[in-house]
Amino acid sequence: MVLTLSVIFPLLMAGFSPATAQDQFQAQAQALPHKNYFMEFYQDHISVADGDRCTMVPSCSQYAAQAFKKHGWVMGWIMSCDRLVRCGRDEVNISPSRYINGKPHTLDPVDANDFWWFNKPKTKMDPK
Amino acid sequence: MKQCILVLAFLTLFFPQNLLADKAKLIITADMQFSYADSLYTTRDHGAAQVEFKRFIHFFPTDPRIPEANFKTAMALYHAGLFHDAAKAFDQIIRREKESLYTLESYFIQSQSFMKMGNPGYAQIVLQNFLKLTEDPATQDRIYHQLAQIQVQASKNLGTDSLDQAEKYLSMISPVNAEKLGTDQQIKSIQKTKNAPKKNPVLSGLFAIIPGGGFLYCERYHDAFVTFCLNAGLMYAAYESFDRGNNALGGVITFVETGFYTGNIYGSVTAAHKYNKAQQIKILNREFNLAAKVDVMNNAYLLTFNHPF
Repeated sequence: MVLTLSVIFPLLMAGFSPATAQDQFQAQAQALPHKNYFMEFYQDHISVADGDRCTMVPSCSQYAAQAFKKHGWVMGWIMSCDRLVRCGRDEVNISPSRYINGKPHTLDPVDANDFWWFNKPKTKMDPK
Repeated sequence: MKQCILVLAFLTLFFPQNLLADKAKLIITADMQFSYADSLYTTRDHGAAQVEFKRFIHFFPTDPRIPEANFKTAMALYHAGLFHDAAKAFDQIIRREKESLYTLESYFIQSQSFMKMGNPGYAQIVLQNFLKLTEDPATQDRIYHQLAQIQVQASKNLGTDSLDQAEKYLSMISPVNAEKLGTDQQIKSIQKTKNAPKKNPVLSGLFAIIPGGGFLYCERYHDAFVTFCLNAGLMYAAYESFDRGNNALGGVITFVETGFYTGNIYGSVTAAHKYNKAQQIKILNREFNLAAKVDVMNNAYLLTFNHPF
């Protein structure tokens, strides 16, 4: 999984363009999980053959797509690499679990990894 | 003759049934309906109870027990896990009945409904509005106490640190009620949580200059080992590629390695933040049993919290 995505990611980067934080957040809220052709190709063909073994939620490829969409290609690339290293190891002991199809999965969304530097833009509905 | 037979057949077929129907006729009074709804509520069949209370409200709109029925409908919705509907029902009670015991409790439990929906912001707004309206010191203390509880609960979320605010609310409770509510113990628990063992995110990032060092500092040994091996392997592969004249391959490997190396630094800083929050949550879970409940069995409409909240 790590090696496969390592090769796919440089290609993946071509499919995204940086945008402002606000735009990115709004886009993420509207259209997550975002897919581009490379990600679709990975999820539809490689991941199917490789096996659905990711124990995290969202899966590493979905996480990568969300990170790229939310933070642009530089931070998305860094966050995706970080996630690939952490997948299914010590994170399991720290982050909350969710049962999906009877199997335990570790909840580790993008929000849980950018909270210390990325502030969610306030909407009119948010209390002061 | 034919007519007589027809009349006899008609009487035989229908007359006894009519008599039986008269005997089986049941008129449900307001008392019966309320008592049935209340029995469902007491036996915690909240889904059925809310329906029966609504039936009572519909058929007996002038009954003096309507405010109680409204309140119990909202409570049944709350207990049935229909928090959005419960919050709406409590809102109607607040708007309809300006000053009553039910209104007072409705504010608190509406706030709890918002908390259950994962919206601490609105839970606070409800109580802060109530704080502006009420002049009763005991109620004000109860509001401060619940606001503190909301802040403690909210501080469990990543990226929020509202323990100072919780402490501030607890210190605003009058000395008369402070002892009753055990605020001293709660303030001590908050202090203990604030003094939880911490990892410095900057230091963690600096340790990550050696791949895996940051994770090691944050006690994530598996992550540290994998990070070290992966980065070392990719660095060696890049070096070997350039050394053998495979510059294109070396470039690709260097590009991939750059991502994993910077990801290692980023992950180490995040790991320190997560470690600090995990330590706080561990102490909060130990010190505060935050489950709020309503004493339904004793018909006491008071929010009770397990010690110390």
